[in-house]
Amino acid sequence: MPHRDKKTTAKRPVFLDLRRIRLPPQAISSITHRVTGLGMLLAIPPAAWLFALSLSGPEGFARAGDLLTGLPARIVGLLLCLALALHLLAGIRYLLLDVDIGITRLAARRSALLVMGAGLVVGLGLWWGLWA
Amino acid sequence: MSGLSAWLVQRLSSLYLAAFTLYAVVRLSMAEAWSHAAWSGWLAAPSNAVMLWLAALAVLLHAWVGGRDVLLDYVHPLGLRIAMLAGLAGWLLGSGIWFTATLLEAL
Repeated sequence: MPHRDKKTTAKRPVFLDLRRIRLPPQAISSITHRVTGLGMLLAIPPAAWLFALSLSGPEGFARAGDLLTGLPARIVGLLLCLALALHLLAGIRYLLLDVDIGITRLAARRSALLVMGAGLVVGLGLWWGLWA
Repeated sequence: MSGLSAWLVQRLSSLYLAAFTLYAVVRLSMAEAWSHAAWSGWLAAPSNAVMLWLAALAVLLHAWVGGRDVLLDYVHPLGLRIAMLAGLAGWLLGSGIWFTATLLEAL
């Protein structure tokens, strides 16, 4: 935990009953933004590897193509497409919030629901377009 | 990188990546038959290579600032925090060097 002043925190109540905590959509979108960002971060070295493989020659290109059309890549691809769409749309929402657009509580609640719903749809569509 | 500079880097890189992602999706949807020749030919154009390299740079800077924020929020023991930050730096820097070397070879 971060350093805290003992005088002010000694008797602070702690409520961490996960079954009874109800996170608002804004918070769920925020956590989703972090999780999707981390997921894509983990994919960076494999992406660099696939990039190198695809340029190593015609055989390497065919091998990269085989890997990308395999079942594991389809599943990882679906997760990455969803992550990208959710992360990108939530990110655009944050840029708008930065300049005070949609900053009221109700507007922020609605836009959080909107970017999560749209993120799922766009992510699925992206995956469909790339792999189908 | 911290404070205002990190905040600014995160937003500038996000703008470039948003535009690049849109371009990449449109370009991929227009792509004809896939082949090594077409792929390496596309990259041999310096403008394409520079655009892609800038996108990779933006990804790495964006991932560094975002990953650093997450680590600073959740990993508190100092030794572990430093080790994980170093791991993240190596993870991203290694990928960046590899990607740059590949790109230079393809030019």
